[in-house]
Amino acid sequence: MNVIEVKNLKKEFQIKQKRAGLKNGLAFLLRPEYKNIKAVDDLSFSVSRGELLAFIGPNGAGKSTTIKMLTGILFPSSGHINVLGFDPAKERQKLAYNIGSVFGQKPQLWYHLPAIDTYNLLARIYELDQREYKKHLAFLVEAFEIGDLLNTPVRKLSLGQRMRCEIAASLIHKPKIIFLDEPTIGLDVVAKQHIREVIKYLNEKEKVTIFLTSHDAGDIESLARRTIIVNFGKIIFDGPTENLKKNYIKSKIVELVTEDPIEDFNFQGGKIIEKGKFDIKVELDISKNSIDKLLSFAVENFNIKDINIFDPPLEEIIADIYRAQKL
Amino acid sequence: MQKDTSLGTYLSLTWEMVKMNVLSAMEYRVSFAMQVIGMIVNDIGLVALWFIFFEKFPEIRGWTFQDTAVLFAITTVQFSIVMILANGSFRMARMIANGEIDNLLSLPKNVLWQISLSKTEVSAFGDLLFGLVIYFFSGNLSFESFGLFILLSVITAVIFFNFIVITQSIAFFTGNFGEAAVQLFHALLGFTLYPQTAFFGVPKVITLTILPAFFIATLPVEIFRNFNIFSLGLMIAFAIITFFIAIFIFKKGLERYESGNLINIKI
Amino acid sequence: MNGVYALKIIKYFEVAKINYFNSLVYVINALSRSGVVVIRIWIFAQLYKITYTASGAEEISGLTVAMVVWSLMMTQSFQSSGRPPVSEIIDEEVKSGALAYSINRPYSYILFHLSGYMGRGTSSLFINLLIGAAASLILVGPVKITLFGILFGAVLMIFGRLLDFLISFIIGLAAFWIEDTTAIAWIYAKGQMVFGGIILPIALFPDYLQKIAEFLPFSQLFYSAARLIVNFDMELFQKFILIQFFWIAVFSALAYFIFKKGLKYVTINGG
Repeated sequence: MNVIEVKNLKKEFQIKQKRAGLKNGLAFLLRPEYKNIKAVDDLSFSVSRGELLAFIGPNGAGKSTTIKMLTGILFPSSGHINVLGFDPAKERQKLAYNIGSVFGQKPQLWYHLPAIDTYNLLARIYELDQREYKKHLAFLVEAFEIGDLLNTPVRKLSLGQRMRCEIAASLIHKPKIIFLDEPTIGLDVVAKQHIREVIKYLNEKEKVTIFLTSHDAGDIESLARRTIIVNFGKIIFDGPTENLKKNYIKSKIVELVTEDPIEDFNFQGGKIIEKGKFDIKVELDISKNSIDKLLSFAVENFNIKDINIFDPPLEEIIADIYRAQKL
Repeated sequence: MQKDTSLGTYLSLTWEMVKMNVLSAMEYRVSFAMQVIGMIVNDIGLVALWFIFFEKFPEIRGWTFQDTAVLFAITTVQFSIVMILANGSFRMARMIANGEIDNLLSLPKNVLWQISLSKTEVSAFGDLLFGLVIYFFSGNLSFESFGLFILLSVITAVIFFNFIVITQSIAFFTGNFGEAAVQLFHALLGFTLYPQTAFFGVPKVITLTILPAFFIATLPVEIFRNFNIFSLGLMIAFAIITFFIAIFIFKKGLERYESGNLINIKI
Repeated sequence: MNGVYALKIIKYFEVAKINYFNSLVYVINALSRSGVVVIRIWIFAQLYKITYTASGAEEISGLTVAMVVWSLMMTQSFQSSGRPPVSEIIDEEVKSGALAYSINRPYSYILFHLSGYMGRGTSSLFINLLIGAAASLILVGPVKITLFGILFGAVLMIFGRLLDFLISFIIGLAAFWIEDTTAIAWIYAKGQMVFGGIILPIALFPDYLQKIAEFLPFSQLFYSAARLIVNFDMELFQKFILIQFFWIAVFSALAYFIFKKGLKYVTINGG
């Protein structure tokens, strides 16, 4: 059963175009020129119930515009959208009872008050049955482990704690779909891990459909079974996330920190990007070599103090994909 | 299927929102107290000024200190009603420019209502208290008078609110209208606080048509001094008409916003 | 060679254009603020014309309607040159801890802010006076202003602004002990409104209040200068300047004392 259906979705903006020069400045006042920007250019996809989907793309790719249209904040220029049987543009408030959203930059929680106050308010805004609400809240509190945080003013919470509370807030009304925009931004590794666990739990146990936007490759890799990549308003990839990794991540960067100074690092198959006295960064083509081999080599020849393994940045992967698409 | 939200729900929700706003402000206990007290002092200053004035000039064209007291009472009570229940409306233009209303659009409640209640000016409680006290200084102590006073305050509060919504909604069409809207607001306020009979001549026409100062201050005090059912009816009609105009302009503006053709839209 | 000059001219023209558009925005803002000034003057003209007619007098306490309006216009112009209030700036500096750093700089903290205050207000002062004078001229006609009036009036204005600065400075310093000094600043502003001759000239106060109001610092900030200018009187000048000096001495001492106390607070509590 499809919870989201998008067909031939288009969104165009008219931006006032001002040309330089005094004469043009006057003309601009009298007869402004408009430039047409295609933010979303013929998008089609559908999402079935219980999917955990990553919706990604570089900045300006049309992601936020699409999400805004799905939630009814923005009207499409043309095309069809159906979310849970509603037309978001026409039935925004009705749809709002069934969806939740977390925008990392725009908090839902009231800053000076404890989270519980916002939860209680939301329960009233969504007109929830009080008993149902209390039961569900207890469940959320346990799942997110925010019991101790409930009565602390939000401004006193750490970013990770606040994020957990924000996501919990978006679930008070048991939405069928939630839109998560950059849920782990700015969080430390432990906090990120925690949030990911919660999201996974929601999706697996509660069958909540999750529409995730993130620049964090770790989020995408660990959570999303399916990934859609947009760029220039078009879908350039729609498929299982592991295909993305398998086909498009071609290299890894390994950073090693040693006890003793590094003289030579003669590992065949790795390109040295940076080299210091006690550290070295190696770019590894993983289609030709395994990290395994590199690490064995390193351990055999040096006293390793620290190891870091990096994926090439997602933007790079996407850019690569786009370039590959063009060919 | 969800049924439409009832008025009763909106009323109880309004109460909740105001409570949250006040609680939020009370986090800063001292600041909260100082604001309320500060506003009372502010109002006392205004009354003191005019008291001194009327000591020297007991009557201006039939207008006495008592009349100024009524004027102040109606104005401050009306002002405090708007500041308590709809303070957020003053920030509307800025909220639109910053895309802050997206959050509100994702909640299943009326957007204008949400914008209005997004903030409560706590010092307005000082105003409210002061308005009620100064009313009693005007010497009108009958139940009827008090009832009329409350009625007039509520009607003028609605007119005031409508005016704010109309001027702020222009931001939907032109981008941030902030500075000019603030100027307009202060001009409006300034007009309401001077002995009203002092105004005459052509500029009064401007006052009548462009700024509803006439309806917010002059007319209600006139009605209070010399009750006239037709004038009262006129005020109520004006409140209702401007209300529908305000809602209409806001709705159109919101549609425009959702079409995404604001000049400073962020893609 | 001509090509080079042509390029230079174009460059300077572009620079001028940018500055023009920038200042256009500034001018529009200044104009709308001035519009408010004009509206107020119009209100005063109406109010006092009727007031005087109602009491059947052409002159009250030596002031005609025209004089009243001109003095109010000037009082308000002087007052507006004191914005944004120093108390806000000092409050911010105390809160942010910038004050602690400023102490280490090789100039007097208070003199630094005084010169800032004086400099900031000057341009808006002249704009407001210009527009205010034009509006007053049109609405109530001219008043006889003598050179002596302007000279001695200017003296009172400068000392009056100094007094305003001192009081505002002290209010800002309260930020060491109080979370929000806005309320105190408010009270000060209301004191100005009631006793500062901003809306009702002190000369038009009932007799029993006039003496008191003239002695309070509020009337000595902006009103006394304006009052002297519209109707110069040497005795009046002497009276006013003495009262000004008195309050300046009082508030200077207070400022010094509170400032020192505040610094001690900083060093104990680490800002």
